[in-house]
Amino acid sequence: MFTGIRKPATIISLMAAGILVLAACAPTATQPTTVAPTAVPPTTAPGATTAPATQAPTTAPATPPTTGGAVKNPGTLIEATIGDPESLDPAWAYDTASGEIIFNVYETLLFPKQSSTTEFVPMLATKWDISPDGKTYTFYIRKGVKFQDGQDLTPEDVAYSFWRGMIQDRAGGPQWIMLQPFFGLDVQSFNDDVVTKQFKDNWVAAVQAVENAVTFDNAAGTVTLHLKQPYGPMLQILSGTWASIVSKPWVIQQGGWNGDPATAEKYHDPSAEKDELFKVMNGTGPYKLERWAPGEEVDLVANPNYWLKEPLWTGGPSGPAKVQRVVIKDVGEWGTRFAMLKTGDADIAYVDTQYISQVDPLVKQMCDAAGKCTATNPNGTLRLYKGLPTVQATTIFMNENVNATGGNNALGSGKLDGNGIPANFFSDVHVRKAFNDAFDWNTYIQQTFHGEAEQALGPIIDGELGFDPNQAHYSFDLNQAAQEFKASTEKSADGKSLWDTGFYMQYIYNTGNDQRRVAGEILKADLAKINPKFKLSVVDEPFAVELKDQVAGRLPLFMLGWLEDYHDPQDWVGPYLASGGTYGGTQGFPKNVQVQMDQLITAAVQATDTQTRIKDYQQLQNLAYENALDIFVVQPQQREYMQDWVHGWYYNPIFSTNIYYYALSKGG
Amino acid sequence: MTQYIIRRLLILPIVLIGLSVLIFAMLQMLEPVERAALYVTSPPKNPAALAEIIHKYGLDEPIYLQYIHWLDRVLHGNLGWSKTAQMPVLTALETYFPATLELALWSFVPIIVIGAWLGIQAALHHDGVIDQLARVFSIVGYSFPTFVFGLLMLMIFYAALGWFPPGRLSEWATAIVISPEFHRYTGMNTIDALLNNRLDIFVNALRHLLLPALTLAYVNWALILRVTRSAMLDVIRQEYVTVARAKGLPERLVINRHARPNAMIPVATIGGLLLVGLLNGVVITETVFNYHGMGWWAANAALNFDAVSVLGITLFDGALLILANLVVDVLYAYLDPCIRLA
Repeated sequence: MFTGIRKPATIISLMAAGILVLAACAPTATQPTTVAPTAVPPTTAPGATTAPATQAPTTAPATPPTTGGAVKNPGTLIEATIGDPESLDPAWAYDTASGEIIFNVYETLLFPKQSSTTEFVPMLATKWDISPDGKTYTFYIRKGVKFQDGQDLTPEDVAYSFWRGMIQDRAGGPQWIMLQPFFGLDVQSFNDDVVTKQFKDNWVAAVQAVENAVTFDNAAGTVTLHLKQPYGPMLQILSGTWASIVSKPWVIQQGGWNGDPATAEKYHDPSAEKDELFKVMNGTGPYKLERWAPGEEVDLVANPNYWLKEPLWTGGPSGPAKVQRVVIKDVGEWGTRFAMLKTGDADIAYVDTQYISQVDPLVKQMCDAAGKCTATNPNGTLRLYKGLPTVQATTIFMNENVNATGGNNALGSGKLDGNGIPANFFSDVHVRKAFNDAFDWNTYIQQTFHGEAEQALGPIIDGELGFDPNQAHYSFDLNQAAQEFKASTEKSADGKSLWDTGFYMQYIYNTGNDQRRVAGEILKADLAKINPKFKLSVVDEPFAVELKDQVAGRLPLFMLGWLEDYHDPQDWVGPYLASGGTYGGTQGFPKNVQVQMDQLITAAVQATDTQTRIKDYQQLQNLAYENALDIFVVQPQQREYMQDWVHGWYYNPIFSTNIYYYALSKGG
Repeated sequence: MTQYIIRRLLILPIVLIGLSVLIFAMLQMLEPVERAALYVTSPPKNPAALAEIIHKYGLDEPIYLQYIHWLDRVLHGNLGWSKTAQMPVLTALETYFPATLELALWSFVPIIVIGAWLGIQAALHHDGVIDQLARVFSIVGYSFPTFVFGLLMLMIFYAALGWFPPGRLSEWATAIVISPEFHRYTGMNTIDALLNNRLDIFVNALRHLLLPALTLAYVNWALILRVTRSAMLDVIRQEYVTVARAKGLPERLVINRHARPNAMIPVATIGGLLLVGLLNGVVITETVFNYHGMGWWAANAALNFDAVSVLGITLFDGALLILANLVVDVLYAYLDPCIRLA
């Protein structure tokens, strides 16, 4: 009837259909063979790579779409994950997303021996000596190692890297880890504790002290660390990304500190974007930075001149990286990550616990942490590593002396009257024990971790020095909890017992963390079962607000976690039990117990004998148990899903969720 | 009309200042520590670090001082640093807006052309089979949540068939596009590909655009269809249309020349607002398809209390809205000679 308007519609329909056909028939994403990512033109400095810079391939992929299990994107490994690096400067970065990039591009003096958490192999050092008093470490720096810009690695670069990091020491950054062995266990900040307190606001003298703490001898090829006290975890911390080695001339070229103590102050505590190494990299490692498109992806390319010719351990990788290109994509939406995993466009993908049931049907092989695999589904395409112990734990903390200044809603009425608790409610050990007895670990682990977590037995987690699997610990026992509550000496104003009066308080967790909310709900339900007058309100606070309230000591009962910085019990007992610890410092532990714990912590970290350290840490675990200081909840396990064409992956808990791409290869 | 346009443009800076004051006033509702969440992603190991961070980024300053400092920077051409995008706000706008513009253009044209065509067809076949089918089509489209439709598209056309991948380009195409040999004229991959004479890149970019564009088109067709149908029904019942038919004009001319242009006036209004909505970024579609545009950035910035980014995005969106409204008004006057702008 109306031909005049049918015609354009027909044309549009044909165009749309044409576009669909044209697009659908186009080749699927396949790495073109003409890409030569190793020939990266320098943009900021010779050899340094910065985003964006790449060698252009000149043709579209010639290979047809891959189907039916053929390796997709050969030569390129794509990881679909969540999170974007905060900075590419190893001295500044303190997040896992940055760490993953950094430890594939930069290198440290030593490196964990494959999956071992306690043995190290020399990397940029060839060997090291430790003086009998445990206070002097001498490292022999490897010769013939070149940075990616072609400059030779020198002992001066190593010393400079440590100086620069300690002086930079940005707020909330990792450098406290490096400062403590050189300037004392109580040091948290270079400016506040070293410059101000130790050197009376004399920056130049403080910087010179840093230079005296780490000395070098280019002729002898050595770097010597002069510690303030013996420090048990020293080798552990030197394998962390914050101890990565940068090239001094290159950093200066980027506008960084030139080594002059007089100018050091202006390089202290920069914001990420004002830091000269924020988005440029020049390491000695197996990969070079090709591009960082913030929020989208980080592209790494193999370093063709990588120095490592012989494996660092039997069967370990050597020579240039087998995977030519690594693309780490930040894909926040689960549906998209899942689709990428299903089509093979993602070789490795991050899978949240709640989605494992969607991915498991795709699993062809299931493997354990040691790499022992069993076939599960011949039609699957993925390999799953499960039961991987993590180096993190979550804990319900009890504050024995809550800060109630200006009123505190978390305490309810602030009195033991059935509608609140007094600020020192948890100072009664019976109450703390009762809360421990009232927590149902099994239900929590099943509900939130599908059984893939283990009960934490104290501040020191499984796999650490001093951990004893037979450690005395609390178990879910409501009768025992009732007995403990009845044994409490706390009284209301009219002299009634805690049992008769009941209580109300808030349990705080960080907004959006469902696992922590569930822990609170379980505890709340079980407390009500013991006595209906025991009331808990499960309340969320934005993460930073919870931290602020925790630091101010305003939370009576709260759940937070800890991801270790370095693999040593010191990184657990310090924050959990020390009087200056991140958590312990604000919990108001009994004075006599606190003194005892502080002495043990200092003795353990300074002991040069491993057996002594083990004994001290076990004593600390016992003190935490006997005094029921916290509800040590879980040490989760994790899973790793990857295409079955990815080979060489191994698990080392020290790496956390990060992947050492150098060990990987792709093939049928 | 020129005076009208100049007057409207002069309002622009006043509106933008008003917007920025409003946002800063709203920021007062957040404690400094809440806004520090942007810089604190894990518990600081040093208990004093949180306070140091708040101080370092000036979050503890009185809000009027923070505003003055911000305004001073803006007047010097610096919109600040976007922590969410990890780049200056201006650079982020340059990076993300072309992506959104490209998506908006590729979806807007089909939305309007096909939506209006369907609406006209429905009106011309009032209560007939075509009208009923169009009604079902529009109800389904209107009631389909975008993220459900988007995920459905992704699962069928990417996960199952492997035809249309998410993101903006495949790996090989990205490598070409970021290389020095490929000139970025507009930041829009399809257009730049044509300008660089790279049909392979054009096709690849199109493959990535089709699903998000289709998702946006489907959920918006319903709106355009309903508006056009209703306007067209009104128009074809007008006396002048009856007169035109009575004069013996062919039906094609009656519809195309007399009825359709008048029915397009409300479509232009809705279309203008729709285009602004698309240009401001489509959060859900961009998120589902991992398409990094304004919507994806704005959502991340808001979730992370990234005030600097939110301010930059709001000012940009505000300016865009005012300019788009101006264009719609001018278009309105063009479509309907009875309307005079003064």
